[in-house]
Amino acid sequence: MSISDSVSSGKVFDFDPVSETPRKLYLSEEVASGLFAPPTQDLDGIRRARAQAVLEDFVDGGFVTVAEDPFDKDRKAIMARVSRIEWEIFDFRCLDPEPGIRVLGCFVAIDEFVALTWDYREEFDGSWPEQVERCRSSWSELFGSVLPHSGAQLDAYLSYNFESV
Amino acid sequence: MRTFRTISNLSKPSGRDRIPETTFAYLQTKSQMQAFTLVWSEFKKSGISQSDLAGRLGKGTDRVCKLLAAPGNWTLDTITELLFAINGGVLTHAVAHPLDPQDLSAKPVPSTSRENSYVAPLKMAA
Repeated sequence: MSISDSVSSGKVFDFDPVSETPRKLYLSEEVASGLFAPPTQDLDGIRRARAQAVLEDFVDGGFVTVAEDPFDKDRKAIMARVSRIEWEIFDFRCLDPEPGIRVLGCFVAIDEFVALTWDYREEFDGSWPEQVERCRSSWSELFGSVLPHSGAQLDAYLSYNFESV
Repeated sequence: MRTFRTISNLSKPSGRDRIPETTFAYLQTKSQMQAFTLVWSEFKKSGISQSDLAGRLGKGTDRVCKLLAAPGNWTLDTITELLFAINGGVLTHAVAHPLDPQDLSAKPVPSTSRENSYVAPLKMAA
């Protein structure tokens, strides 16, 4: 199933259908109803509010630093590839306030990202493989045998306002 | 059509009603991200290296690399130094009112260029 089919069928949501930038962000039900739920007025709510701003900035064409090596990355990078690289999973690293939030997903086309799963950073400790598998399962449920967008270089994923770090 | 933009769920301040911490958190991060984009856009246009920039700032290259790796709660002093050191730029300030329906200045300028021509809402003096 294509991304447009998934949006039409209500399985994923277009973050901002009227956005005028080339970038698109799609949200799974988990991200739409969880991360983008009205924040609670506590530390977790603050973390989610800040994570919302990070993702919104992506749609607005904001500058993105991307770490391409999952095991040797700048700890401050906004996005990073997730191991195993061939699975084409990236995560948005919402770092403030620590320990932050991670949003996992894949590109469906250049400048178009689908956010599939998310969790508070501490929930990844000791369970990265399970979190990654959850993301992969989410992709399979939505898109079946269709593979995520891939490319040889970072400019196959992002066409502007990015830097590899 | 539904938007998931957080701004669409915010209310204008009124009276002495306390503004939620999460509202400030969201807006602070938006400002940080926009300042980050502004600095990087100018840096990309300048053509100088991070090493050049570090020299102009009187800081180590590692320090500058770390600074440019991610947005943060930069002080106005930091933004001022970065912009001027990059290409003699000076920050000017503008205010948008995205909760006012007719305020179009809050909308990001769309960019389709591969040359990082996105212009963030913060303004640069000519």
